[in-house]
Amino acid sequence: MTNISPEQFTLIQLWFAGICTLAIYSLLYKENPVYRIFEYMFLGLGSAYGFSFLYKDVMIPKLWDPLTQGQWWWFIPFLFGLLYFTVYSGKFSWMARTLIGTLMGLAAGYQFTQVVNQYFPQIRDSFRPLTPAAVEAVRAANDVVTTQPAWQEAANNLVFFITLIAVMTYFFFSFEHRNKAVVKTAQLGRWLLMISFGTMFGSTITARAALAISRIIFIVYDWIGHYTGWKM
Amino acid sequence: MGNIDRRILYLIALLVMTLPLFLKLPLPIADNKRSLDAFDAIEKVDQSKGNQVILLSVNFSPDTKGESLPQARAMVVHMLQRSKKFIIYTMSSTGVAGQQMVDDEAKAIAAELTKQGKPRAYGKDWANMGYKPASSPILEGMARNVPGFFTKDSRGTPVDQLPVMDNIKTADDIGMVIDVSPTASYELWIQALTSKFDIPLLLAPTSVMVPDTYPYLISGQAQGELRGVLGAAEYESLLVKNKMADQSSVGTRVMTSMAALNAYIMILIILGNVTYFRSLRKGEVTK
Repeated sequence: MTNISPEQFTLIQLWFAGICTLAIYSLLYKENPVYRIFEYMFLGLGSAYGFSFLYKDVMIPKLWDPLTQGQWWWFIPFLFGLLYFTVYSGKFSWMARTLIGTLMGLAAGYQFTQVVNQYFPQIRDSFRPLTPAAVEAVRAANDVVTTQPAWQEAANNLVFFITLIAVMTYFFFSFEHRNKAVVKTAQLGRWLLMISFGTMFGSTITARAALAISRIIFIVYDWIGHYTGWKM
Repeated sequence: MGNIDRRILYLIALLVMTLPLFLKLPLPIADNKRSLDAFDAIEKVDQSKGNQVILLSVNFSPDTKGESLPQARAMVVHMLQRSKKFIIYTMSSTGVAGQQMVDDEAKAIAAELTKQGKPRAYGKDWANMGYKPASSPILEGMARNVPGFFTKDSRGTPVDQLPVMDNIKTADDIGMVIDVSPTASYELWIQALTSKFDIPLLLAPTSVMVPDTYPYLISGQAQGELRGVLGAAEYESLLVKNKMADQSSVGTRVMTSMAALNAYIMILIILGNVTYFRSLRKGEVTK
């Protein structure tokens, strides 16, 4: 069998990637068997990659190597890990639940401490000066130098404050919204949420378009450009 | 309008995205505060005492290469130009491919700089520390013992033989964390490292994730952000303005096509609404 040179291998990769891209985008024309074959191939490749990676980079260096070097105690967590497979037995499935419960308890307890780092700064930041005079006072106290007029920051803070209160009111389900002020505030909260969801949807389109453009760049400059000499 | 075959619309979209690539239209990129803040934060990292390495956390796989690679590339150009030492790390098994792409980009940029008389080398200016699965407790462990976490690089070189890791012992020796990721991996950094040890954090999420990051930026938990491929284009423009690059790179080219596509989508939305309301008035459709 002849050896494949690195240049030939790169060329095979290029053609394979190009054909895969076209096959996946063929769905835009219509649902077709070529698309399905490549879709399943991607799923299969993804699963195989994940499994081989875990085996090569986790199972071997983290379990097999230490065990074969005499560090027998690594077998204990491995045994605990095996308890997951008891879910397939009606009689012993309770053993898997003890493991899952322990891990969930550990994660919940740990996460509780992490909330301090993750969300407390945001809660602290939600206390903001709402008048230009208060903005000036806060700036002076914190030695903040900025060219932004104080009234602009106060206006921004007011929008932030109204949004915070309105959206929190919308999600407050402890009692029925009967009071007219509460109903109107919750309605405003819903509108503000819709605006933010619209922003997110716009971002989603941008993200997908960027990925499509990057595939076009690949096809035009890397694949076709390999033969025509087109450069970015 | 309502009867147009959607495939014709897709075909026009394809042309709208492709033509600007060939026409090489110059797209003016305005400065943005988030990108400027990111740029300034990297400038401020002080490595004069031999530590304060920048940790570049790369967690993207080839599927988001179009957005994430231009972001990472722009910051790598900046760090290599300014000789800011950095290590590339991934906490995601699928991020290894992205990590390798960034490492390859760094190699190409370093070779170009070396040709220009600014020698940059692997191991001295940057290193690829490979993949290690992470969670908050694991990263907290890393904060206490950085060389114990990164025992060797992706090429198998022991960490004590990498000059870039000299004097790097604990979280106090990490000058900055940059998270280039299509997932919320920045939350792990905030939980375990940056908030706790007061380390600056820069975000480089994909466009779809940008709105989720605002609370962290507004509260000061992150110091700057490259907002998807637009952020990459803004950063490339800053590199040109600061004479660290001759011309904008792939991020700006993608944004040129993106601007054309956005205009096309807006026209379709307007036409769609006009057609809908006209049909409504004529009684052809009901609410």
